[in-house]
Amino acid sequence: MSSSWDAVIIGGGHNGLVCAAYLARAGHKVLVLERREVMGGAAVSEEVFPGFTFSVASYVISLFRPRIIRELELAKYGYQVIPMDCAFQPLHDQRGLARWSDADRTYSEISRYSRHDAENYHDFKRTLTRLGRIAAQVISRPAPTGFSLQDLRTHTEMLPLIRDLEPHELQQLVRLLTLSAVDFLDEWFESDILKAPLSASGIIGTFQGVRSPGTAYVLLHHYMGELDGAFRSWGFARGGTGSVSLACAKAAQAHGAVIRTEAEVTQVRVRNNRATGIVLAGGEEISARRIISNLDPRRTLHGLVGAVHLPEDTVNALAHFTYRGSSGKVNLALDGLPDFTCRPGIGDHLRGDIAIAPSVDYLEQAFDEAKYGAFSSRPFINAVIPSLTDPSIAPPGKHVISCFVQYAPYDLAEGHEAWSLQREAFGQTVLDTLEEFAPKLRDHIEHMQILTPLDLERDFGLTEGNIFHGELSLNQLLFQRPAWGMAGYRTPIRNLWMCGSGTHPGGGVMGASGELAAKALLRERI
Amino acid sequence: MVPSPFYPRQSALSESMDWTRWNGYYAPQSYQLQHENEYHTIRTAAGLIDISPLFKISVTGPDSLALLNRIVVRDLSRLKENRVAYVVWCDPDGFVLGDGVVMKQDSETFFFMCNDPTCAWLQKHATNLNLTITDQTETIAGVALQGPCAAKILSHAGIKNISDLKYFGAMSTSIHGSQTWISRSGFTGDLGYELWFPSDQALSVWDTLVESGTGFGLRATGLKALDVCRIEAGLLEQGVDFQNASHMLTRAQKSTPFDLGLGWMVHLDRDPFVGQSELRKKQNSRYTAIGLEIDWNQTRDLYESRGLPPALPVEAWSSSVPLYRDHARQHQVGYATSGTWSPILKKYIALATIEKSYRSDSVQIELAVEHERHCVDAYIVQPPFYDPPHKRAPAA
Amino acid sequence: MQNPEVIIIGAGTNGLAAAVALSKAGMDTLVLEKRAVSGGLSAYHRFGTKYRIPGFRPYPDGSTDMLNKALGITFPQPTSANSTGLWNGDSFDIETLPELADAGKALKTLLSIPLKRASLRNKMAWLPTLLQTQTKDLARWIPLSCVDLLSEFDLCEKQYSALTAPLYTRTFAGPKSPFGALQMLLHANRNNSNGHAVLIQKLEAAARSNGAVIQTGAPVKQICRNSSGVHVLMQDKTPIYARFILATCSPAMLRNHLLNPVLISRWPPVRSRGTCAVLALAMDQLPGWLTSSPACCKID
Repeated sequence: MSSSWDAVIIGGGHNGLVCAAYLARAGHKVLVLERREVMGGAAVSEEVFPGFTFSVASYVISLFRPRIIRELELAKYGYQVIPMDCAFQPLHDQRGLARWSDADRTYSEISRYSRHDAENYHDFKRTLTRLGRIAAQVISRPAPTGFSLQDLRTHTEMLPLIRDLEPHELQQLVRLLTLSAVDFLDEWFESDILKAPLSASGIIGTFQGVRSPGTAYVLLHHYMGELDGAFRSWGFARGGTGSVSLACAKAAQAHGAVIRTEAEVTQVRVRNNRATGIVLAGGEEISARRIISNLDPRRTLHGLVGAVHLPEDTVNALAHFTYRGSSGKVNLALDGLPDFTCRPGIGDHLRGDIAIAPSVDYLEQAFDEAKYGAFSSRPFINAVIPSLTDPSIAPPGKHVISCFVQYAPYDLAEGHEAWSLQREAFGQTVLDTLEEFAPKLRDHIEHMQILTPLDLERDFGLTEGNIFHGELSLNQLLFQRPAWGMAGYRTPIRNLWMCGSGTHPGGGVMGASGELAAKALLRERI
Repeated sequence: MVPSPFYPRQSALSESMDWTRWNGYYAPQSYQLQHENEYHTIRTAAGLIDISPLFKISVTGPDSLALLNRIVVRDLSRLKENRVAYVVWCDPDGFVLGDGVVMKQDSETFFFMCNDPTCAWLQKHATNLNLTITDQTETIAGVALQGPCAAKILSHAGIKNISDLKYFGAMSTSIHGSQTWISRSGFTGDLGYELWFPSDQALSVWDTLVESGTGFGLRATGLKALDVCRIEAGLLEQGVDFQNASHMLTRAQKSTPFDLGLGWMVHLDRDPFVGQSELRKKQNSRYTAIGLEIDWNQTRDLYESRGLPPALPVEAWSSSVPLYRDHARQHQVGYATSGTWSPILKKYIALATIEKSYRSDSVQIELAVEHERHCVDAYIVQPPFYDPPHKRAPAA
Repeated sequence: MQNPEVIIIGAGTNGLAAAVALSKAGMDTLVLEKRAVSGGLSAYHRFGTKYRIPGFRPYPDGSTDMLNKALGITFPQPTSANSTGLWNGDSFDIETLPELADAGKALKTLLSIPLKRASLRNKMAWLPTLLQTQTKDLARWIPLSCVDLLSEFDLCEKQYSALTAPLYTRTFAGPKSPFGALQMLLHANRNNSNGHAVLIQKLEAAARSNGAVIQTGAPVKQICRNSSGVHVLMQDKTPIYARFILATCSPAMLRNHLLNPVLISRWPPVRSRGTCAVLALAMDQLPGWLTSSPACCKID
């Protein structure tokens, strides 16, 4: 069977699986190789403790491209996302702030802090939605790689969108690219309480503070999500994020793709600057006409290919591609629900995302410690309780809390290996922080899973624990992702392609990299 | 207007104050400000829906089967005890008067649920029959418990043998001391049960269910969420997808069971029943009921060309929308009667009535974008759109 | 005085440079300066009774090639010890990184082309620069922080701080803040001049010789418009009318103080956040490393 594969895909993350499904759908013989025993990469659901299913790494869905859902008929294979209705921000005084999908309700919540902001909030959302539409167009197309004919088409298609913008919106777009999240929000809002959770979306997964230039752009990412045709924010995948990957896997299998788990690829065979096949950990060799890597650029090219096979400028470019993981995860299995002091009881405010971001300064201070190689002693936490919406992932009456924690810099002052020693302290810090707002949370904890950036790297192959396969900074986006000249999903090695989040348009459970890589491959008539 | 037996609980839950009228009762459209989460509750956990406003009639006596068989088009002599059946009944001209569910509680007792007052119609045909017809609309309350967790919740509420109940089966049991009939049926196309119990016990049963369901994500859900579910399940709604013939003035407003795609239900070769002779003649109906999947790419392009994100119907709509053979909208071949965006299927779907002679696999459906009328392709499919295995499979 | 064609508010470097250019083009130019001396931030600042420092900028930026050409002035090139002694501990200059200097040059070319919506020709003018290879470097470098930018070159840590410190300190950002590289590139090929004083003198002389009037000690109260046209109101409420008014103050000053609010329809949000102060010391003796610097002069 060995030489008959049209394409071998290294890594069964959601992008690899989307890519496999598209290629298989076009009639190619595709083999997906996954190192772990479960599919999904970082978009995975695992029953970590009996009865409790965690979305171990990635925990919410919004950016998954609707086009992929339709073209691969993922709904048929079990893709189901339940939108979140609320974004709740507990505070020490008053009732905390909850922003709802209902505009009137949100207005009255915000106007308790500032009527000015409550009025501007609507305009803010509208503007970002309009700009987000442009960004959504950008991420659904291949990035321009230079001045080719294809690029010209890409540019021309974008023109009407840009022309549609009012002059001041165009100005906002340019400002978004360079401003800090807080500076951008300052232009709309006066209340620190509102600005804090909004600005927090600008730092997710990056090693920057809310006042660092360039973070405003990431805000936009939160307004280009599309769920059920509405441009809006986030939702839970039923059965955990892994069910999105499984739906992709089923779609791929339905079209004839073969998926092998516990098949770790250790090497890509290269002869005469041409990839000919891969070598598995056990020594088994599989040859294929195309090799497509779902791993990040460093792991693919340095790890599997080896620098000796690469041209000098690629080696340089890879060296300058930054990862700098800044976040960790703490997953809790509970026998009850957290009770927030500011808004006691079990209400709908627990059903959405819960952000521990009481003020802008709190977030900036959390970053301060990270700059000098320590995890934040009072970190930004984004917690969700998916079991409230989807009871299938926990035993009856019990719950799962998934906490995204920032900052947890990969490079501790003591070196990244020191994470093994600080893991427990990190987990306790997270609990301490949560208990500031929801006392006695510890009483409910049955199990706890702590994932430091080092764990993310070891378990999920996320280099330096970066959840996006490389920072989403302006110099690593679009035609520069992962490097100038490599944006077309190709690598300098012929027949070796990439389809992971390290390629345009980047991270988040979007599937766009996998889709665009597959479509680029299919244009080549492999 | 009267409040439903569950009104004290419903009004406490109603955040939106969005009530509608249903057979003279106040019924919540949604409890939350938006019905969307309630929809997802039904599809992922379980929803609790008040169905007390349905008309409930008990027919009991040696001739009860004979009466029902004379009324409905379906041959109920095949219906076993502890089973339910979906039925329609017609006027003497063969036009549908209503639809409902019949539960055979014992050899001589039938429990009849429907959406229009039907007692008088039954009485009219009961002359000289040995039976009693009791209108129990006010004395019996009902809730539907619908969603993948429904069986677990009932089991948790003490009905241990609930997993033995087959699809369209029924059983008599007790919940919190209240005599309750449970049938495995519903209007959502999901795993689900309908529970019937005395009205004066309504609140205690409701509370028991809510308490048992907390760990399973149970929430009360309103009619808007139910409407989306029933379209996904391809179920027709009286008053929306077809009309009670006795209320209609013209021929075109009425439908035979064959027009509705319910020909499978009509058992013509048996003792006479109301409408039998006319139905014989009307077997070759002009229309049939179908499902439509509206082309998403064209819809989106249409909106994009106006600089808008695609607007999806966040609620199910129920108005007549013309279907054409051609893009120029010259030849109408049918009409869609209700439609919705299906969040679980990620498709824009509709229920429609179309000329049987129409042979193509797609039609043009009219779509209004920004005050302008356009046409997009809609593909003809057979409902149900959403048909999960757990609807019929043994409940775990 | 007869109404001038153009009023320039502020006789700082930019005001004077504009005065030179406009008067040279034959326009009747009036420069109004609030302070008693021209030069703005670059003017000598007196402190104590006997001392002055040459402006508030910690080190000279120098003027652009374009301006120098227009003025027809050449600045004496300072010796390398002079230009670097103040802030480059290892007498190490950014210009020793030719890639940076090239990219900086390209960036300056891009920035010197006016951004105007309508003009296609202006846009075409970007092309030659865009097509140059530096574009690639620019695109990658601009979003970086100073430290990230320098990490692409083989430098030691000491050189890092020496190079980055003067460049980020004037913005509200740190050496590891993104977009610091932009500042750095802008400065990558500055002209070294030995002090603002020279530039101001040259500019002033050039302006006057072309017929521009420079009026110091003349604070403007407000910029107004009425049926007779645009004009400035002086402190004593006397109006001076002109065809054009050119303000060189900060946008915030313009919006908050100078401009009559009814004239403003939409104002772009511009932040001004002060981040630095100047500490001037009068000493009886200069430390050795400073002796060759022109930064502090004692008045005789």
